[in-house]
Amino acid sequence: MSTRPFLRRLALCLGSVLAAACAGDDGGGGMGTGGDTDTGGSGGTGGACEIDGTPQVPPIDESSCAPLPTDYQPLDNMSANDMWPACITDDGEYHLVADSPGTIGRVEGYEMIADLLWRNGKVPTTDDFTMARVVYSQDQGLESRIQRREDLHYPPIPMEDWDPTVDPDKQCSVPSNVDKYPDRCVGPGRMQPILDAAFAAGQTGEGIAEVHAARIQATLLWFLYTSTYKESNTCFTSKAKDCDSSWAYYTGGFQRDGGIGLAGEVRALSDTTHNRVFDGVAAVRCLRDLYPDDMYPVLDDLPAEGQMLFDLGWEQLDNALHRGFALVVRDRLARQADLSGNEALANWAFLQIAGPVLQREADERGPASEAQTLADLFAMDCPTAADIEAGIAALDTIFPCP
Amino acid sequence: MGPLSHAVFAVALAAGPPPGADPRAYEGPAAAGSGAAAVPARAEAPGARAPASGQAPEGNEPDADADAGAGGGRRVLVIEPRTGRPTEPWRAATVVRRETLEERLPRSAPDAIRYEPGVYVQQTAHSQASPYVRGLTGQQVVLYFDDVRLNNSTFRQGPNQYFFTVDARTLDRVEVVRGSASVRYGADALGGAILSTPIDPGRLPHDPTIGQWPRFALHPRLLLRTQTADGEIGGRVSLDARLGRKVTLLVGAGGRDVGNLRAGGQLIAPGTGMVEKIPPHFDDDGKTQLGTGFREWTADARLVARPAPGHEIVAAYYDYRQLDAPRTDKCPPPEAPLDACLRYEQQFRTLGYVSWRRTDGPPAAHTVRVTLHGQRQRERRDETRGGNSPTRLSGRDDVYTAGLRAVITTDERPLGRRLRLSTTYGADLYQDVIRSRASIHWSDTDITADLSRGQYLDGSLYLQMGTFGESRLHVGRVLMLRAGGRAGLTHARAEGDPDTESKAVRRTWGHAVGGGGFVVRPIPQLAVVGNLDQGYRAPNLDDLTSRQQTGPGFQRENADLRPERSLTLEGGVRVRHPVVEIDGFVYRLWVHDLIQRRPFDATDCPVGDPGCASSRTRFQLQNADGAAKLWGVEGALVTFLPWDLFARATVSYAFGDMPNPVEDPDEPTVPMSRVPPLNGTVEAGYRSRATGFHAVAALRWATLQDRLAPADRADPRIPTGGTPGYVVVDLRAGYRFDPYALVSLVFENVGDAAYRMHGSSVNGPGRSLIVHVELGF
Repeated sequence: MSTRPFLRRLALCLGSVLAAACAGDDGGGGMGTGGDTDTGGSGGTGGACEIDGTPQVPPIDESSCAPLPTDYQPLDNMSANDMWPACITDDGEYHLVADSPGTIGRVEGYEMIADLLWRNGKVPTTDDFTMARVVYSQDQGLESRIQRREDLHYPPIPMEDWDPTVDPDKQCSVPSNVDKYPDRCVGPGRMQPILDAAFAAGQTGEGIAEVHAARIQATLLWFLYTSTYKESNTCFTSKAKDCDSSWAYYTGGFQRDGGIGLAGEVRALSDTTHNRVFDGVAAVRCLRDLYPDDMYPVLDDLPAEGQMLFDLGWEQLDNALHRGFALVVRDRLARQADLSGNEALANWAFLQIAGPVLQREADERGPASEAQTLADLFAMDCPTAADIEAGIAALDTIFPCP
Repeated sequence: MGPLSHAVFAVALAAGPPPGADPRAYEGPAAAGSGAAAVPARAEAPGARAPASGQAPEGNEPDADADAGAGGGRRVLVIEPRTGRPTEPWRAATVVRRETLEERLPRSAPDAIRYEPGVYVQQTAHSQASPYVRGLTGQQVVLYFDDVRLNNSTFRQGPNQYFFTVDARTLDRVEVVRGSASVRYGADALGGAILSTPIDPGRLPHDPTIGQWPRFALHPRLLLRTQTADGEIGGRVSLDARLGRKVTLLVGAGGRDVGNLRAGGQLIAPGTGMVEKIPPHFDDDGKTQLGTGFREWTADARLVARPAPGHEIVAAYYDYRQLDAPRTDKCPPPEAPLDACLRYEQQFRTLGYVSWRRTDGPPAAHTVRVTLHGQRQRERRDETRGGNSPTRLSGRDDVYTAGLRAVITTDERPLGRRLRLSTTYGADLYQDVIRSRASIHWSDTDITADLSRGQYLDGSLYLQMGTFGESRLHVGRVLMLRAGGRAGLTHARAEGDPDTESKAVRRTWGHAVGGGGFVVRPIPQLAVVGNLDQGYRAPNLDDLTSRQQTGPGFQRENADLRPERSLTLEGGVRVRHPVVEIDGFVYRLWVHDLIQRRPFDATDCPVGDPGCASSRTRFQLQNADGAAKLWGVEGALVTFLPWDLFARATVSYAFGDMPNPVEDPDEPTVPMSRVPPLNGTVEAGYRSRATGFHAVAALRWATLQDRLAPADRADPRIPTGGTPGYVVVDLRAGYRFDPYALVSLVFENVGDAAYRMHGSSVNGPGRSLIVHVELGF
């Protein structure tokens, strides 16, 4: 791959100039689920979002967490002790519905981007951003799915706004619906503007490369998290092989003892949560085994018991995913105090995107005061040590267990 | 004109034209063995335009007496068909002539053969169409234009758009040869061959003089056309010039601007009972199909010189330029933003050639045709993601082809009292060189990243050469035996691309194919035909090197493929009678080592090509284990009734199975991909050469096709559960006042039926009017 030499030289020049001149202007991200895409200011007490003092961060403690009686638990005597009938995933492994899903390629794309932009502490160059964007923009790659991603946590688009020429489950492909329902149409409505802005700035050398990389990482993790949840639903409302996509969006195509992408992040922080997410994915797959698509094409075709189990399994997955994503955010919060310079700015930029992802659920779960703490925290230009401590406490309160 | 006088037909005195020679090479009976052969009869005879169906053939038709003229001896009594004489009358073949096209008003060259038995025309876009012949298409059917091979080494698996790049307004006739035919037509002739012939200059009857130069004449002609279904406005201007005694010239240029196609409505998917949505994407009216409009420009020049009796030199140039043509199934792709679109910004084909014909040579080379051609095919694709995405994926492929083909036919030599032998032999050579590149451009940064490789490996080379011969032995008046063969070499070379794990290719294949058959004529009106012919296709550069998103999913190359070989066994009857003509054939076609799409796991995707692993479905081309089998029946019946009335009906059925690309003991074979359903046509009406009027009602029909290959089930072009059947009625009327005026109207799809040709991305046109006007002198 090669870029236009002139443009590359121009971008490098612009990059070095702007990075030197504007480092303090472009540190934090201002992105929340509210949809702002401004780059924000660095703020904070250290001028580069460096924290004065050391927040007291308790270790992750999930010792008191126990599955719900309704949870699918293949690791517990191969599901013999739960209420779920015997099924294909009782051995604790994930078993594909069909051939390997293309989702694996997209998660591998995430890993390739990670190697180029933020892994191993590297400072990405403009060429790195261009190469990463090639991966992102590839046919059938991450961008193609971000453009169509819906967040099923939000209400569906009302029928009166449906485009009759488009299938009901593809209404987010209609531009006017993206504008009107950006939370539901989260990919094109929320994620894509962040990613386009970050890639473009990184390619042209504007601002701080690490910040752009962090914003890309946070948004892509958000996408993986949203997609895992969404595909486990469409496994029963659209195509059975979407179960495989759900599994792959979480694990990148690995069994529970491995995982890249989101699973790699979560597993590094908590085996328990990782296993619970995996169990949630397996619960939906288990149900597809019990109710195969050739006999029960969509959710409405399932008997009442099947529909109940689907609700339980999907909710189990949702809870675990929230905990997993909260752990990622928690870990980044905890690290903020140890970082300085552009790394600190980048970390905070990450949190300003990833943190608000949890806000809807936090508001729903409460307590309201803790949810407000999180909202206030991620709206800051830069937190103090106390803000971080409060934020971590709020996360542990709202999302205590997978 | 009374029915019987109109039904005058030629009782020709030969089994057919000298096989292998171009139809134009044949002279009329009067020319045979005389100096008159120096100038083709059609160029001199008043009113020598090719007749419509139901009229005695003249002009550009192969002449029934050709063999007689060539052999000058014993003759076999046959009845000349009024519906058009195939180049090889012993094959399952039909002909569409210019006057028929002027009645049917096809939208494209593929559309021109829609009414032929054994043919079914698939459309991935309104600007693209791919004819299926006996259930095969694309790289498995060979296309010729004036004896120039159009197939090149980038013809891909499944349907392609390349026959669309032949301007239908320049065609004088199109012939469809059904069944394997590689002996005569070389590689790719597995399902058949489509032979198109352009209009020649010097075909107009009157030569107005220019001043004091009586040997110079100019015939300008203006063609205007519009149709309501897609808002097409287009036309063509041409000038037919006689430049002295020995030279004629036809130059023309055309263009059209085509809007979005309005269909009868949306389809109901048989598998769900629900309205089938994208593709195509319909406008709010539920009828207008977005992503179907395009623009087109054409230019051509054809100079024919006859420097000496029996010699003809043709220098010709045909340029086709299609612009801004969306691929409908990806405009938008299912689930993508509605403004996402893959467009062929440029679909160009430029062809130039020189040919020399001799029609009265020595016995060993009685007729000769040598053609040297050069062709460039360009595709420039541009895919926008839509939804405010700044990403634009582009690809450009240029194929440069040079070719040389020689076809020679001997005199008919008596071998005894009742035996006569003639032979057609020749050789051909083609070389392709490919330039291919791809890039991603982001409009927000104006940065372009060139990808490691394009759809093909840049600089690839493909060479084909072969020599062939076919002899026909006439035994008395009732039997003709035929046998022939071809041998040749194919060489493919491409440099690998390590970044994307694209293997280098250096492969050479030899091939030898044969064929033969018989024709028995117990009575002049009846012929019983039997043929056994082979087809051959070496893997081309598309198979060996290309990576692309096809309709069913990502397709990966395979540099280790083996050639495909086919065998057609067919039997049929032909009835030629003043009142009725019947063609009926039954066939069985085997394809050995069929190159088919086999799904593969994402973990086997090449490193450095994220588009592979990310695709929902992935296929690699593989040779099938065992033979794919097609069988079918097809027929055409024409009756010529009193008072210039006629009726014609065709029916076609094909049933294809191939080895399951996925090992499955419960399902060792699966349906072949996109085999057309049972289908047919009916045309009936009035057509008078005397009055110049025609009025015809036409009906096209097809049944549900729910026999789907695994790849078909993943193909969004095919509705869930298969493609529904349909019945479409057209009405046609027109008036011809040769050579001054032609007005032709088609009231298409009178019932405004919502229908789709199987495998297509677009539904057929809804109720609409096509108006075609030609003025000239």
